[in-house]
Amino acid sequence: MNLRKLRSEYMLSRQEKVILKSLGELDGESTPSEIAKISELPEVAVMRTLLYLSSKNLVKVEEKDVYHLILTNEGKNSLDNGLIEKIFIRGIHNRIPLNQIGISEEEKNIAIGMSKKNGWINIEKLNNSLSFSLTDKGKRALNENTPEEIALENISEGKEISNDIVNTLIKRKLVEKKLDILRKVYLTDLGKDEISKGIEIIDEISELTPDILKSENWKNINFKKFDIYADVNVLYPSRKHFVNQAIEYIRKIWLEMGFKEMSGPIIDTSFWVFDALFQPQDHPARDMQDTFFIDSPRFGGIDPELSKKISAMHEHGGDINSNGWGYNWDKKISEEYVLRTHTTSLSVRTLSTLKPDDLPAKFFSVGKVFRNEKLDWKHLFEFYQTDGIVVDEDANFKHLLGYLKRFLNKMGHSKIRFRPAYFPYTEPSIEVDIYNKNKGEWVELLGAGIFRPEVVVPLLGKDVPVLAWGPGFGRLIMEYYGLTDIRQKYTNDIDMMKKLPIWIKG
Amino acid sequence: MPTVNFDKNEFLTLLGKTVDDKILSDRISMIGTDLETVNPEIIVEVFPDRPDMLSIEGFTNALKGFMGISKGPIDFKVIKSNYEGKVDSKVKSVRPYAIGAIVKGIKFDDNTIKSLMQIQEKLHITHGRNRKKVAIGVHDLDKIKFPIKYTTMSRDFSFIPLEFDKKISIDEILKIHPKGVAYAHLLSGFEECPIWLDSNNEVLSMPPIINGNNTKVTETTKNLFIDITGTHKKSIEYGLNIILMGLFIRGGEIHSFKLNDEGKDWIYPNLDRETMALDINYSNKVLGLQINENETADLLMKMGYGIKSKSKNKLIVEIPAYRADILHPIDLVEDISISYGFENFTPEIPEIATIGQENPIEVFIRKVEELLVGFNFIEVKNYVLSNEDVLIKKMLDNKKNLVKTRNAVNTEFDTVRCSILPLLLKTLVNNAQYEYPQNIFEVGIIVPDQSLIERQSLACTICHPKASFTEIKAVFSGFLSSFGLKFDVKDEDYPSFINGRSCSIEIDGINIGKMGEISPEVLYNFKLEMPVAAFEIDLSTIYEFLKVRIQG
Repeated sequence: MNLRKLRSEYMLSRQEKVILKSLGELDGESTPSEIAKISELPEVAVMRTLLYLSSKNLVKVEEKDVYHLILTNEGKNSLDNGLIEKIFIRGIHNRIPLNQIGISEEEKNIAIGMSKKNGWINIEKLNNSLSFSLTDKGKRALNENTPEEIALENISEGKEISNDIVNTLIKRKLVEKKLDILRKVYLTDLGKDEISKGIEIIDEISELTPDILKSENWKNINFKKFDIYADVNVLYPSRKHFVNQAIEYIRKIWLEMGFKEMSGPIIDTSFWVFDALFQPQDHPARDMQDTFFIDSPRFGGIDPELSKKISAMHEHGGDINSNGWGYNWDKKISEEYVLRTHTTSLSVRTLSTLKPDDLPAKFFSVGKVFRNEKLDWKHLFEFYQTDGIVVDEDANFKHLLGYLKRFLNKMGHSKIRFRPAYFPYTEPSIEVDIYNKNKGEWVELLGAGIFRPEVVVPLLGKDVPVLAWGPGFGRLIMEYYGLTDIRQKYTNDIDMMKKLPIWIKG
Repeated sequence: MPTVNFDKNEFLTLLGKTVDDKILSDRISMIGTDLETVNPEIIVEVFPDRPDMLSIEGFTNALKGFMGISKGPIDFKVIKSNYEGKVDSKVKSVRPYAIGAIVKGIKFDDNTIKSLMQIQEKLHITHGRNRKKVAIGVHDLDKIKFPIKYTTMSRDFSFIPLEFDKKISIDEILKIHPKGVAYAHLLSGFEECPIWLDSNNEVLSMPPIINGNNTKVTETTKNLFIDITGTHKKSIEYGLNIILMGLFIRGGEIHSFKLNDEGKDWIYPNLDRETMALDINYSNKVLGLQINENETADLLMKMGYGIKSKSKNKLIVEIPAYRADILHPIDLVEDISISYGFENFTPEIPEIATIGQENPIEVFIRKVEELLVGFNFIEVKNYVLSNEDVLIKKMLDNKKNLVKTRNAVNTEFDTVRCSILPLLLKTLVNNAQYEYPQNIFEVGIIVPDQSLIERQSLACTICHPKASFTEIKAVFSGFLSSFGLKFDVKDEDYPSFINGRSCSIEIDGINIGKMGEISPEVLYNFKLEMPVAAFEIDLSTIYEFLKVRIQG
């Protein structure tokens, strides 16, 4: 027996108690209408409560299909005015012309047939027409009721009649059968037991009010039982935007590992977004189709000292043992304002502020980046990236793998793969894949590497290993929340956002 | 990144070994190309630092070493010959660099032709930056009368270009020939155009547009002349060497070509391997490995390098002439790591004692968000990019100096937002089908004007049938007092708000924002049929009052 049944068995509502008690007074056997009379409850309410009681095995409701007879309109007419054959012989007796008797031509034929069958009339043929006269039996019948007429009267008074005559009446469409359900209610043994324990009826209320509390009336009343299984209108709490919930967690991952947050502008010169990262000025990533350029102001200032060093690095590898890219570096191109295409601009900006005493140092950022792309279900023109750098004389490639592994493990991915890749500013460069179980394949997730000496030396003054990464995490967020269209992140559908489960990792 | 397709059977033939698909997929991924599939053909994206892997010969050559089938560099042989040419100084202001090479004894089967066309096309697109930096022409050597000359000709000069049967002028080529139309912009502004001419004054090519019809390569061609021109000398040399590698692997004989340029004789091709010194300690330090010079040399040989000399902790490494990406010893270190196998490195987290620290304004922003969620406001997030219509026109604002992008693909998102409030109104319109009240907020970056100073802004709206100034003021007051701050309001009318129901907000006499009931005209502009009361404040300014306390 489950808990639900147990609980309801021993908790009876006031109405249930009233009805159980009434049934007890009726010797444990009755009908719903009788109970309604005694309990002074509406019959509908009684019926409903009986069903509850029956589900608790306290009463048994027996249902029987019963038919009873009712008079048709024709039947009612016949009861008031007599059967048509009686009307017919009455007309003959009173010498009323046949067409004025008050029955239709069709009924007249039936009436003639019935009267003849009953032996009430003689029929003679005179001059091609029929002439009717009453027999003695017919004269007697004028003042007597036929068995059919008696039966009609009995039916109208709800009395029993014999089956033979019922069929005749039904055939003559004077009566019809109607289906009815007859309910009988009995107390079960469990019900009797309950009554024998004594039923105390206390007033019930549905709401607890301050007045009841003040007056201490609650001592004398019971609470109306609520249907706790009924559906309710769900209320959803407000919350932070789901993307921000994830960002908060990502920030926490870095903070826990001892990273310091860096920040900086979303609109920056190409110098910080590209040139300081040793991206040659004719690099395809710098093309108009990938990068948003600012219309006004178009150019920004760059530090002349640093610009000299960066320029030398691009042109011939500066004063380190690098060949550089071997082209003429154009200062004007590096002064162009763009919307940053990666937050790695913050990493190089930070590097340029570090002094030897600041090492070792670890930094992270979480910020928006921009790509001049068409908006569709898998592309956004702006999204978040989380950059990290570890600046340490002793940092090495294995550490880079270690940090990335930790980050992805914390994001819920344990099966990962490191693969060689290419970025103009890192060497070695890594692409990290996560394993998609559903598709059974590796999915490319993020890029990382160790900054090239050509990047580090002009900014830091010497060649120190700088582990660097800049993953987008849009795919991880979509996967977590089960989103299929990347635009949902900025649709701001209030209903959807309230119903979305929260970011539970922490 | 360029995607290239390689025929698998041909690949396996060139590799000289049968390999199952799973191992092949793994090896191709782990050498550093983005593999799409190995079945039925091999499709990979080749990273821009390895143009030498754009041809099937170069791709196979790299994998042959990586998979341990061969070791060390290709030993090119260049046969000395008497072919000569000259670069006219007139080209220096148009397309300054040109070189060439001769390859004989090619068996021109379908695969060779296909491969040569593919590498030429891929090099044009990537390494050659759509022919601007590097352009290649391939010719039937036997139709050329040496010596040849790279010069310029005026635009009325005419010759028969490829795919044409009569002479037309350079001007016409640039207007009607499909290649001329496609690349005319590379010659725009020049009165004269670059031309390779032979001793009979027949045109070999008009770089970087089209070859002449005279030297067209056919099925019977056995000997080739390859011309390569561009704006960057190193790049055309690498381009030429990459093509020659493929033809050499196919059995072609490379012959020398003497070219006089700026009064000096140069012999092409130059397939000599340059050397670079590698300090083993440096390589080990970067990679976290402890391997000696012999092991390191072995790993480099697997990647196709030569080793000129070996001494304690030092290697003199020979770089193949087709490797355009080796600028610094760190590039050798990367190839050592690839050769060693990324899968063989154990990830480690070192114990570096550093202290994690949040940017204090981010701490402030987090508290702001928490308080507003406590008020039962839902946080929304809009794009930083929007447009003038939403930001200004619909708001009835007269603000100028918006920060616009000049090349946005989506004109709906071409302007950096100067305020968040208009975006909240847009958000409310998009949610009009849901029940009210709808109270929302957003925190984020705005760039108010062309001074490009970025601010953190907070906008907050209440939206329901009875939304009023009184209610928003109540929310704002409770919000600000939670930070222990007091504010003053100043009667001020704004076009976006109802007159007499708006104010500016100040802390210690410093303006921090505004608040009020949104004007019905603005709501009408947004097609919002529900009253809205709102405030927008500058968190960057408020932060200044709290900075000291936040940092503790």
